[in-house]
Amino acid sequence: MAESEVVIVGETWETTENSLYEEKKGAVVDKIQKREEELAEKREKRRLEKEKTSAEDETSDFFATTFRKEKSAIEKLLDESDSTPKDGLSDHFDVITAAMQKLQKFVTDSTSFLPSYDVRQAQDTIGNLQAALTEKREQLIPKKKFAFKKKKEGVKEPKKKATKVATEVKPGVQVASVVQIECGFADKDSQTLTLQPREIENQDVSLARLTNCTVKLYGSAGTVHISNVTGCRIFTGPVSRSIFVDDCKDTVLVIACQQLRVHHTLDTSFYLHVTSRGIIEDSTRLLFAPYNWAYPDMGEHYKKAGLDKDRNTWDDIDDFNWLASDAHSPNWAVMNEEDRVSSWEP
Amino acid sequence: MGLLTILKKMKQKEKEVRLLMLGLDNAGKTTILKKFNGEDINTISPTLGFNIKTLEHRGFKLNVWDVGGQKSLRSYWRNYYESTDGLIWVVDSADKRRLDDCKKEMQALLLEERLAGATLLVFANKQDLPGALPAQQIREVLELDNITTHHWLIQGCSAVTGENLLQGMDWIIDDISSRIFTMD
Repeated sequence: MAESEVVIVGETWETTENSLYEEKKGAVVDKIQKREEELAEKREKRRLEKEKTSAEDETSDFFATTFRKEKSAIEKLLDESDSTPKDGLSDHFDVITAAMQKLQKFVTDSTSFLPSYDVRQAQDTIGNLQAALTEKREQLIPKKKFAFKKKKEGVKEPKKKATKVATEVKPGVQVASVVQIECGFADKDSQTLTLQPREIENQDVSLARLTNCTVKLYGSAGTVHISNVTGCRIFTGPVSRSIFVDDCKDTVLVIACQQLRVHHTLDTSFYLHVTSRGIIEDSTRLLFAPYNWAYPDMGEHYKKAGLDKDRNTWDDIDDFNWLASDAHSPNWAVMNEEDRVSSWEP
Repeated sequence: MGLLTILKKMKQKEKEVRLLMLGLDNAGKTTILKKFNGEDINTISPTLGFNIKTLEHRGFKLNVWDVGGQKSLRSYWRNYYESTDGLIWVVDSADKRRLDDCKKEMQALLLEERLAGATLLVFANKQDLPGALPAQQIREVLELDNITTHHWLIQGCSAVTGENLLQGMDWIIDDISSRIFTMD
């Protein structure tokens, strides 16, 4: 190889026959040789890589063969359990379980290169084997009194965890009793309803099915749910989280909160303090003005609720039924200043 | 096999997990996401559309999709199902009035073919509220025990205090990784 290079180089430097020529020639030869070595190294590297990627344990064939082998081994073990002596049964089943776990791990390890059909097939097979094992076990070893009932085949570690959570907690309550209202008012007509700070602090307050009522919530509630309300006036102090309004008509809401969500509401005015963007959905003819209720201790309640008094985005409302950004939603408007009520307390 | 091997190697190396977070509006999805990521939760507005966050946790790259839960957005949920590894269903444990709605929406999701392989984590959120139902009752109301098609866990939590968020996330990551990544 060096010979041919000498010739090529020799042509280039033909006329110079001094030491400089020799020196340069040597350098070039060195360079070429080095390059040649690099290339060979690269080739070798590529070859090794290729060998690695086509490693036979990552082919479907290898998977299928191994899987089948393991499967028949487990089936054989299962068949043997009938003839296993009683005192050796539990050990025998442990061996089968271990084999199944090994198989499961093998499948898990292989999922990334197997077609999903194969994975599902393999999982089904394991599921069937597990079912067979459970059946055999139940048949041959009488159930212990405190045994957990297996609900589903193919239950894995995480599921067990879920079951554990369940056993810690006492039996539950029916949904019907769950829906009762703990704090707030329901089904009232033409009344003035008031709650004091200690009654609502951090509570989830519910106002449902009210007609022509005036409601005053002094203090900082955790959340307030207002639903099925007609012709009412509702005042709240600073609510630390969300106020949820659903199905209201001809109502005036003077409310302060961190989040406001309004659904199915018509012809309603909001005097609002909200520290994030409020939203409306399936609602129309809503008017918005800044919050202007006041009572002694309100400053303290603001602190308790963690609401920033200086941050109020009452006129920045998102309408989920109006996603055009270049035009204002027809469903809500800022209330004209001359129409706003300036003072609420008599 | 060459391409598959490369894909496998890439996924292994990055350990990327896609989580889809859904639930009724006001459940606290965005708050969970922001709290988990250590962000301020006081200025969160109801989600108009969706948030995507990529988080690094325990060497995993989590792509979390938090999609708004308002009624008018729910029909768009389906656009996010594809290649979801884990589904996080967030429940407002204090909102007893809408638990039925919550159940219906969740059960509909579980029938979705594109979510068939996904692990389900139910966050019974807002446990810090005095009126909140414990996780066990949420579990009964949502009839979680009847679920046989997904690996699931219910975890009581509070996005505001951060309580139990990590436990839930760790569980879903463990469950997903035992399915898709080669165990080291």
